[in-house]
Amino acid sequence: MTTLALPPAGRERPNRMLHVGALLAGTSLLMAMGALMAAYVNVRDAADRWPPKGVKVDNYLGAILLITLLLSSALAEWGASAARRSLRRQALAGLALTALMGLAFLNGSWYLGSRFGFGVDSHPYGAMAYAFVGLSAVATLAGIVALAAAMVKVLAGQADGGDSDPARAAASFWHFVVGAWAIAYAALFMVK
Amino acid sequence: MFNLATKLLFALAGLTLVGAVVYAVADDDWSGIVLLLFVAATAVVLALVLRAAGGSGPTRDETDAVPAPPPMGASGASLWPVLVALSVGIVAVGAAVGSGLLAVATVVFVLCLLGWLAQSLAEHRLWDNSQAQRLADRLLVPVGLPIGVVLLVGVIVISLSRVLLALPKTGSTVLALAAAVVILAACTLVAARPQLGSGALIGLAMFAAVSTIAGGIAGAVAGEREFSHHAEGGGERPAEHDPQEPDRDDAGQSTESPAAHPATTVVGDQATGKRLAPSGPVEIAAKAIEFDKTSMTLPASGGEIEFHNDDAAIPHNVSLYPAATGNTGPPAFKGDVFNGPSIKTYELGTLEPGDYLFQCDIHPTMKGKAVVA
Repeated sequence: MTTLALPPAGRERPNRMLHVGALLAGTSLLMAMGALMAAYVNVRDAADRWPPKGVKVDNYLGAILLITLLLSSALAEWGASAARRSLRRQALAGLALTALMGLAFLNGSWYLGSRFGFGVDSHPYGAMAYAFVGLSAVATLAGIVALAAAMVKVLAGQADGGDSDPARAAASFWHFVVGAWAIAYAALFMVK
Repeated sequence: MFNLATKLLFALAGLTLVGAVVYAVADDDWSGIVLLLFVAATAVVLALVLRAAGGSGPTRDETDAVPAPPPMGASGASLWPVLVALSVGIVAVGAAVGSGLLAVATVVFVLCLLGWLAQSLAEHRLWDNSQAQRLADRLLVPVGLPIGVVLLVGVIVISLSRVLLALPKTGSTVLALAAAVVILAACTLVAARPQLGSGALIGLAMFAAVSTIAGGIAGAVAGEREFSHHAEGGGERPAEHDPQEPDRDDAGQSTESPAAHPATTVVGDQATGKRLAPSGPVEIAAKAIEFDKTSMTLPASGGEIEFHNDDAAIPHNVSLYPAATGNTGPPAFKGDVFNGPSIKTYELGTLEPGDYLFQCDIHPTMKGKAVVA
């Protein structure tokens, strides 16, 4: 009786469903900002004066918020790469600092909105400005929730090494959040 | 090597890019061009990220070599994502309807998220008792427990305070004593009967929680009773009086009387149709980026404005501009800008009699008419 040897097992394929889901959510966010940008250009073309009289755009605060998010993007990447290398403390630090930067962004967005000097129903520019800032804030909030969930998974030891999909997914979505504010910044403070 | 999904996304990007160019030549509609460019950019970004992540599925060669992924535990269809999506919808509705529904929806949303996260943790193939203990030691006890206790105390305090503030003075005293007696009796019963099962204790706690929260909601809906403050000299004067509501005594009876209303500052000309110079500071409040008045009457000399900025962390002020020039000219009076919630009294000095415009310089949509008499 001959014994047949089984063929060697192939390498284990990592589960990346969460990451792909985060990428899809991120691209949806990107397209939503794109649609908003298209609406902005449309409304701007139809207006007699843009921005309306009395509206002063504070470029300084918008730029500070953009820099804050760009820095947070690097921190998110640090957290995700640390999780991939099973460095739990570093992963937690990276993700937590990213979430803190996100909270700072939310605080700054709130302040920016309070300094606008017009309401959402004052004029079309007001509606578009609040839509941009509001959508960015909602996306940031979603990103912070994703980061918090990833931190819990890291803490539980379920996001290490080849299993680091939750941290990677949260970091990838965060990059899209940063991109969303970059689009809002371009519309409100550069295109004007 | 690009796989099929990446190739399709690049093809989509190329097609929309060509479409954008054709559209730009055919029509001068920039919004359409921007939209098409965004579709192309999004497709390129998604393709590049998928390729970098390797998450778009294995190539044909890999498919044969890679076995099925290992089982991840008992992972059936989960209801949590659906509940999270529903709660997000309710949060959106709550944001449009009012803060009450928004608060409830947010709590439901957070609970659904936590449920989903807990299921995700429990279904992981590495999950066991040691992991649960590790998570409890590092997260639930140091973070979750204090937050939970603070929330519990907050719910009890807010709920009971709503009930006590809604009831008449005597009734709230009786209820507070009765609640204390009931709590004492319940704790005595629990202490005296150690054989009480966990089901009975949970039932008791649930009854207490539901009755407290329901009472709090009912009290919040009913609103606070009228309060009387002792004025100097021993008399009483009603405070926070709503002119639409008659005064009520402790039993809730109407005690409307002219003497109960002290002489107050006349603001504007809504009372008699005449413009009257006020006898004290003119009160005006800013709330939700709106003034609570659209007109006011001020004295020509020695007038004051008591400005209540009720918008938390939002700067406001009150400035006066001659009606002839409006806010394009120099102000007749410019109040200091300050963040709410706070109150500041502006001394106006001497003003020329006539019509003025008042506004917040930070939010010029907040404005109204002022008459200096």
